[in-house]
Amino acid sequence: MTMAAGSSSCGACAAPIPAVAGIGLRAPHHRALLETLPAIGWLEVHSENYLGAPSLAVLDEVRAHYPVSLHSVGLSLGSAEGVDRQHLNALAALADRIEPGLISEHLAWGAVDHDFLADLLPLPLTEESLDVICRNVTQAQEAFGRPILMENPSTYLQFSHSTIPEAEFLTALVERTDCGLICDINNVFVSASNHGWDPLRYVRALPAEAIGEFHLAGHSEAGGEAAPLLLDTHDRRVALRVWSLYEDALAIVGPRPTLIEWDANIPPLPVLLDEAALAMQRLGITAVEARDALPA
Amino acid sequence: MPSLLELQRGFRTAVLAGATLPPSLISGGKVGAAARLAVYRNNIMGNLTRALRLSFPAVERLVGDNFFAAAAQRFIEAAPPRAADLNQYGDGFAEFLASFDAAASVSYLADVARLEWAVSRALHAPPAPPLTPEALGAVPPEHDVGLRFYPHPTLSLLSLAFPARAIWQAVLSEDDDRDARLGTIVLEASGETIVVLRSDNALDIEALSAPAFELAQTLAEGCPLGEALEHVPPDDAAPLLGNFLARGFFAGFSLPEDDTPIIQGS
Repeated sequence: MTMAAGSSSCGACAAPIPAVAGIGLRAPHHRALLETLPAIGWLEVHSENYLGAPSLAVLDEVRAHYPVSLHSVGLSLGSAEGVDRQHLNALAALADRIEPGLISEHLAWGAVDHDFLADLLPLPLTEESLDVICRNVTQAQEAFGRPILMENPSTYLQFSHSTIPEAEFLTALVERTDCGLICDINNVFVSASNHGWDPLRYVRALPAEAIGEFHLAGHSEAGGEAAPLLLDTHDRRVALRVWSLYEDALAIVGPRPTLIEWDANIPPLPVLLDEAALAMQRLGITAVEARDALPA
Repeated sequence: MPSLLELQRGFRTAVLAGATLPPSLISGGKVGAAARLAVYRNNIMGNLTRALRLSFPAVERLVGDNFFAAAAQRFIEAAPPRAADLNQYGDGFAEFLASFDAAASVSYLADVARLEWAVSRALHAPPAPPLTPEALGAVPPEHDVGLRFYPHPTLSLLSLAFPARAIWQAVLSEDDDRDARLGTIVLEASGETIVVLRSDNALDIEALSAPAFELAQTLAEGCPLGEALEHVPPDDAAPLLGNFLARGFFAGFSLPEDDTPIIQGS
């Protein structure tokens, strides 16, 4: 499967995600969003939060007004045992219904022996892990009938037996599966800080043409024995140094759809729209152009 | 060097137990392996505890934040989710609370949890049209005794020792007189049988008489109609069945000697 074939096969049905700022839609904003229908180019949701009847009804309504990107957190594409077929089928059915502009997951695992740990856990970056995740990504892309984007994670530890730097690992994943990438700028910043990497070098090492989306979010500093680790908490505004890294990434990669994520201590919707406006400034898009970019 | 599967099993066991991995597996730096692993444990416990809070809000209000978090932690360690959809996480939490020594003084807690789990299931189950009397009317009468029903995916039939429904309603009410309402509930193990389901996109929680409950439960378990009606007075059978159908207890049926379910709308 190639990116082009996958895109065209679904081009007719899905509203594409424009290269403007979007926000992550979370339950506390359902009502405010549908009541005010703010001028925002697109929305991304965590697929797992929309498998139940009440939230699915909300998503149907949201989709009638906005392009939607489906971002799952529970496929566990790094699981040695393979992908949970039942969950993959549920997500594929959701995608059939919502007709998302993008579908994405993470370079991570979260399930073993059918225990689902509800977190994005780190992989040893080895040839074995690369084989496993390539197999699982291919299976997922077959189920969705299109390429997916894979996101670089925030990590808090590295395994001693890892042999492949993360950016190279993601590059190999792209080459072997024709998947695309989400470059989560905050995750690059957090992982680079936690492991002593050079964040700019990391961004430069990714295949720019495969990057289909940027993510931005706030992080925090761990206390106690975990200090000075940075934690990907999504509980505040994007840090100034992350904005700066985003500007550098835009210069290296070019403009891409850019998501503002906020998952804890969630503020009123206008604060997220405000963060999105800051991303639009960096993308060089004026408010008028942004409104024009909106679907009719 | 462990295989990926060995590593994932070891990681799972360690984070659930609050243990660490062999330090040789993790490349260090200033922060030790235990502290790094603890970040993941905190994330997992936080995410799953939040999922349980969403499904069991009344239990949380009854026991308070800290107690709930402690109970949730023990439950998560013993029984992590078996599905990626966290709305499905919580089956067994009521039974866990019933056997949780620290909660023994709150005798009605497990019953409130059973009710909340039934409510959560009813809210999150996929939409399914109920079986109508008209669809059943097409079945030749000679097949009636062998009919088996399929329960509606939102249906729960609960036999509770304590007045959990009144407690649940009072605890979750936003009224100023919540404490007063709670004070009027007689916390005796008097027993109640109730049905919980979603119908017409609204939550339906009703008391059922003991005979109605018994018949509904027997049918929901897949017992053939003729056998299920053996212990029901003949005059009661038609009104009870009509009531179940009117309220949408079932999603479909199968004919005798044919296990293929006939599900409405499919």
